[in-house]
Amino acid sequence: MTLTYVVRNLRRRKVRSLLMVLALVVGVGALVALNATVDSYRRFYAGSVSGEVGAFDLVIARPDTAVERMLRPDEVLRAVRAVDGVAAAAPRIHAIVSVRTAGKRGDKPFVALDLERDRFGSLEVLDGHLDLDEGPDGLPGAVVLQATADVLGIGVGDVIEVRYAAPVPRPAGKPAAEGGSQRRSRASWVVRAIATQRGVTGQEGNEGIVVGLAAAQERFDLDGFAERVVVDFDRALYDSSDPQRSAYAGREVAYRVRRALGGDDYTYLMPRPRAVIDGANQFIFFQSLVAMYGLLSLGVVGLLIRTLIMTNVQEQTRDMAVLRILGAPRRHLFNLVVAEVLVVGTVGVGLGIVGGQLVNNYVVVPFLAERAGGGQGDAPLVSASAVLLSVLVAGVVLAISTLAPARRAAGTKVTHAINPGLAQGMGLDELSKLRERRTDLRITGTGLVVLVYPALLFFAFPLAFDFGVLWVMAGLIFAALLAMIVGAALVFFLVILPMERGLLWVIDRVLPRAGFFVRRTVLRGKERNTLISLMIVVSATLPAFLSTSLALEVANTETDRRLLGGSPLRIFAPALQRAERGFRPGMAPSEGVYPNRLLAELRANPGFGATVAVSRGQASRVRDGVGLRDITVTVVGVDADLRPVLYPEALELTQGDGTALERIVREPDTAIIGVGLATYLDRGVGDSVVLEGAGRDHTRTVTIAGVARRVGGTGEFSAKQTRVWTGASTVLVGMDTFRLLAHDPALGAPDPDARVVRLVMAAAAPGMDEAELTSDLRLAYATEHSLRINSTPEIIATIREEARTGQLFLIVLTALTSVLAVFGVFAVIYVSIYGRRAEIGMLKAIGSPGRHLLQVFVSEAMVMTLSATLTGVTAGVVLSYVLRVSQSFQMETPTLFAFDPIVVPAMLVFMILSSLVSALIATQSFRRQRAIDILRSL
Amino acid sequence: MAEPPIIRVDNVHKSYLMGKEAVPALRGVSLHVARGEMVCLMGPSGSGKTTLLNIVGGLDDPGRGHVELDGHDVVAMGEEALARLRLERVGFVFQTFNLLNNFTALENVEAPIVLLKRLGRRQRRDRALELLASVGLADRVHHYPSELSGGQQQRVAIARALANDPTIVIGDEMTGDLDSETGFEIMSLVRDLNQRAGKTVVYVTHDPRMAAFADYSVHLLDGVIVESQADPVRTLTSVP
Repeated sequence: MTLTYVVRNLRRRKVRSLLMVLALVVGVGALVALNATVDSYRRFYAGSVSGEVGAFDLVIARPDTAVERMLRPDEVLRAVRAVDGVAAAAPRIHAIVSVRTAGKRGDKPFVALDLERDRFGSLEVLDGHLDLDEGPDGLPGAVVLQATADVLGIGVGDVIEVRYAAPVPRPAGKPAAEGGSQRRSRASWVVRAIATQRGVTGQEGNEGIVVGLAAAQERFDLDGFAERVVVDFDRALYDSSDPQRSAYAGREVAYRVRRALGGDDYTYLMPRPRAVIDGANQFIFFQSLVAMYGLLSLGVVGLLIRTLIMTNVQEQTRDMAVLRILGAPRRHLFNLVVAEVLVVGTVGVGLGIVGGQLVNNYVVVPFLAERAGGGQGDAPLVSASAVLLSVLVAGVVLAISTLAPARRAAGTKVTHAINPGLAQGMGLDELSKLRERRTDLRITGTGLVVLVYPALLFFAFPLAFDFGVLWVMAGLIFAALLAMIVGAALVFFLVILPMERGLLWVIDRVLPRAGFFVRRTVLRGKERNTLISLMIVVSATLPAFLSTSLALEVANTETDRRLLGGSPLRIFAPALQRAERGFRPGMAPSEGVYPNRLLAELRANPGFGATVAVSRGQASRVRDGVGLRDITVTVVGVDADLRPVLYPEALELTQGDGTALERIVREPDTAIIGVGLATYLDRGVGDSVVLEGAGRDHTRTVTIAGVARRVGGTGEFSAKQTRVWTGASTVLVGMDTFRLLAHDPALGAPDPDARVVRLVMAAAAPGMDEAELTSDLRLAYATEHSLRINSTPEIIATIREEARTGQLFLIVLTALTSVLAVFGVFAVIYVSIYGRRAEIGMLKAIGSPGRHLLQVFVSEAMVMTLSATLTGVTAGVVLSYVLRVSQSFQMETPTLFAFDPIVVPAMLVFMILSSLVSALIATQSFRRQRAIDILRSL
Repeated sequence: MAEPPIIRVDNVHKSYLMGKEAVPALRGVSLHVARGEMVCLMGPSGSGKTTLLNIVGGLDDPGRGHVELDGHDVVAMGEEALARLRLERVGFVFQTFNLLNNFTALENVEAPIVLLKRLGRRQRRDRALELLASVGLADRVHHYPSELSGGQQQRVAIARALANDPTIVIGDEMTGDLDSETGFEIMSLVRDLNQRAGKTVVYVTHDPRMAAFADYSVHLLDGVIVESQADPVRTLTSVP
């Protein structure tokens, strides 16, 4: 009977019921779709990264200390293929070769494989045909990848000469030998195809040449040897939506392979599982972002449902009072409301789950599968975790929304059916409550709220961050972000009234007759208007915050990167390397400094306009010489004037001028120190300080040539005293002075060829294309010598490109929250107008023209919606500026102003239109009805 | 030559559809009210008195018959024109007051003046203050309806009904929600407006004591006028 009563009530109020269901469908559907997308992306992640790291799970090669650097593929393959979990294995040669064609040459990646057995990755032929066999001309075929073909001007039918040097062993415990010549074999191939690749070379992009393994072995006299074996594991390993679990399952297979091959005769790399496990963390943060948006959006839905259910309860007060007279307990009335929400919730959440899953299955999954370069496999029809999470969030929101209306229903007095006027007054049973003392849960609740902050500070954060529990960290961070958004929205709520007054002033000028009514209703309808406004403010704050933050990041990226990076190009020495997925697995660790020959070769590149070698940091202490002040510092040496390579804004001197940079190179025992250090020591230009050098009793007195706030890319010159106290401050000296300091004099005279350079800062030569120079440098040095080449313009462009992608994502999420806010606006406007039937009837009775009523309600809706949206936007924008300025203050960088040109204006337009449409639809029936009909229906 | 009646209802038949059944509310009712008269419509529930009142006030259209308000043939008028007529010439006082809850007493009285757009802000305010003073609420102008007693709210409603200086005032159970003493006060006020300002008043009541304030009463039963008590007595018959 309860169900019958509830269903009849819902059918009687079709518009409201439909609104609640639709809001749930959209809210839950979007949440399911987003969560399922995260799930699907996890599932396809292995395929997605294949294009970047190679479509294979294990690379087996000989260590570079092995006497014989090449391996016998048959022996290895026999053992590997017998291992459980291995799907396929094939021999290959990967190397950097010199490619020569008519008039051009270059060092390019080289892959020799057996097309019959090797199906790792894919080649898409753009021109010609895929044929690596020997042709009638006696030359074997080669596939040249597109970028290489473009750079070297190679076309189908061209003959290319390849010069290959077999890898040589390195003595154990020593770095690779410098200098000396390597024997290179030469051979020619005819280009049969130009193609693009995905997952073949093990690197992104389309640089390189692919040839047949047999032809390479024969032409380079390799006698059947191969440089590596690549292995693919069973697909089923990656069927888990937990990337970490997949990677560890892969590792178990790799352990079995290792046992099968016995001992340490080989080195192993797991490029794809490694990329999968490294990328696993991003999902946690993405999941948390989705959860936050979900909470926010469903929170708005919850407000809407609470409003509508409360209205239903208010309208049914008399009915409920009659039920009480008939003997229904309060619990029954409570359950009636709960049942109503359950029915609405079941329909809405159910349809939302179906809708969201359909979006995932028919839109997201095919897209991700295509990106992953393969079929959809066994992607489940229903993403259980996505559904469960969404149902849980929806359930919590609905439960909270139901509480107040259900309690109100349960509190219905029987006098409501007899004498509604009397029922408002206090009854005897309520009077008695004044005398009884009861537990005040509000006090307990307040205590819990007060405890939240210390609990987070002393328990949650230390536990999560010290133990590295990522999901807790992500949850805490996003919960803090959510709290910040909601808190900012609430704080800025006080701006709403001035906004409303401003808009009402405009209405008074444009529509004075309507303005008389609108002003009073908007400014005086407290509870109802507060609810609409709250819903919209919160919905507007987050997108405004995120979009403005993004705009600020894009606008300030160039400045920040130039200040921090210092120079257009920064080329780092090979650092301590782990075994890489690249072309030289198992590379020996280096000290993080340049070999001299390599350094000279690099700096001789004609593409550079100027280069400056920057030394590694030497830990030291600086003293004032009379025992008052001393502190730990890092000494860095430069071998040339930095001004030709530095961006102008990356150099800021507070004492001295730019000539100080030339002076420290030219004059020994001169230095540039940071503002913070100068303040700490209370020393300035012309003063002397004592630097400790390597060894015992080794000091040097240096003269301060300049005091800098910034010398981009070389070290820390900040004014922040905390940085000085922690020993992070830098002292910049000339390279000769550095060598003297870094060398223990007890060991004799310093070696002028000692390797001390860790970084080369450079600028391109006039007229040189920076992007082309960067690409050439990477080809020449990134793979072969493991140099890390950072191009500041490239980093800026990448960040901007990522920002554009982020903006797209943001637009989607903003549209979602805006749609839900629109539902909320419509619901509250509809209920409000419905509740003012008597007013509408009276106004029509006394002669109000039809269009006047429309103007009034539309104006009311627009004033409330627009003022709330503008308030939310203001809150979001101010919050993002506060964060940005504080960040800039910490980094001691300026802040350029920027505003988002898309998301915020789109949101404003969307809200205006939604309020307009809401008011039009909500007033439609009343506008058509006669006054007498409205009054009769009361 | 006798002045034409300000309200002229001739042979009006009005039916309502209740489900599939047509229920006659008025069956050939005729009523002529002269300018300045105060007429009371009485009858049991379902007699058609409220229907007749709504037709007289221009709120409802007659199904069949002829109705004129202050020289205007309302049957021939469209909805907007009728609304304009009501705004200019008819004032309404409802049983449940129907004041705007977010508006003060002053603003409630100003509302119809704003809708008519004939007076400027200052003039409008002055007129509203004057009207509220005339109904004895000069010291309550800035109170909201929830801060006023029932009688005070009805006074505000009366002042609002007079805002645009109508020729006709329509009252639907004006004292229905008030106690007797207050009801008498209200009716005395209305009578005073009728006599002093010459407003034509047509009102519905159940209470014979309130009916006594009228110049004459018209009794309806089952959609026909059965009796008209006047002082002096005037009798009208209904035409079937």
